[in-house]
Amino acid sequence: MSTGILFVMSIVAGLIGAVTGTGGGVVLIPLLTSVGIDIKQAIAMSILSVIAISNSAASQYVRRHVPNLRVSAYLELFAVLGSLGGASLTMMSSRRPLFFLCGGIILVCGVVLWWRQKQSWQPGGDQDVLSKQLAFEGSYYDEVEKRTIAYRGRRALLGGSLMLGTGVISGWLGVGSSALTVLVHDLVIGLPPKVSLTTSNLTIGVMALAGACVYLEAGLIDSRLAVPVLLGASLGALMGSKLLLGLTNQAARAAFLGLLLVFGIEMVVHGIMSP
Amino acid sequence: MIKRAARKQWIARFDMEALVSAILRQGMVLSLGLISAGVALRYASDRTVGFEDHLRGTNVLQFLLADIHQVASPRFWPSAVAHVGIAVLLLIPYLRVLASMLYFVFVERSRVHALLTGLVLLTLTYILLIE
Repeated sequence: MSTGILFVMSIVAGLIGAVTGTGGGVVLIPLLTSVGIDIKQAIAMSILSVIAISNSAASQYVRRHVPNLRVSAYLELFAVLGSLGGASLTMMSSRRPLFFLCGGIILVCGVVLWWRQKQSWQPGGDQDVLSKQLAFEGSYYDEVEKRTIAYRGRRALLGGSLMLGTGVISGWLGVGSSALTVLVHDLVIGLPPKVSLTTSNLTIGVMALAGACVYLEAGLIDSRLAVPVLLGASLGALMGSKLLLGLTNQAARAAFLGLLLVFGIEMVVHGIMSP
Repeated sequence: MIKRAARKQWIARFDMEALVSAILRQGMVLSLGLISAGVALRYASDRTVGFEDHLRGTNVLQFLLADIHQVASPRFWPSAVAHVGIAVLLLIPYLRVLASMLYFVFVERSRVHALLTGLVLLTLTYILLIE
């Protein structure tokens, strides 16, 4: 596989990941496997690109004081432990089920994205004891609405448990980390969408790091793939964040939903056809 | 008394988000700069941009040490520089968690959050540098 083709594929994955806020894995894994790269190596590359994309995106958001560092500190512990367990599962799994599971998670990400765009955020009710002790609250200045929005997070225990599961899926399959993490922040903890998206960017970087270390130890990360993938995904994420300003949310999401459907089905078919 | 007042003032001014943002941004610039430099060195030496080698070692510390051992031979410089770039990328989230822990310990003085970030840091230290 030529370095140039890998570089271009990674630009596409980084660009789409940044525009839609779902990370690059859902695009990168199908693209890499479609050109004959082993699925376990594709998963390892996806995890590595998630670190690059989340670092780039989070640096922009954190400066604007939007993410909640306390929520991130709590959920990261579960995410890291889950990701370590998940990455170890990849080592033990045979290749065929990985195609089915990746395809399934990509389709689930599509459903989540479609469902989220129909929802509007409402402040939640009373906090539980654990959420209070963990000080799950904060405020941020919304530049679109031109006002400060205060919020309180809830259901810390359920959020932590689900984050453990999200970590397992992310470490195991290298996809779904962004979409599922945002879902936990948004629907379970009850953070406003912008706080969910930006806080999850911090969490997925640490979660992906734990998985990447397992793949490094297993010898699945090599510079032949890592160099073009990291440069391409970072460049794509940078282009995507610029492109995002000129796109409507609906246009970006509609295009991405179509792509997810194609990639999800392609992965499942790949699994059926593979020996 | 004056010391305590000065400390309070410093805490009030301390911008944790600016520090985290700087770690992430500068780290990415350094990492991508080193990887790009590795590609440029490879192109300068044998007119190709591809790498064929695996990352040696079972953790970040080990593969960095393996690269340092090979620095004596200029033939290995391109991959050594690119590998350091990949190692920097892996260390960025680690440094971010370290900064968060120090913030919770010394600025916010929140034992619970300091303990949580401390546990994450301990796990990451083990898998990145020791395992």
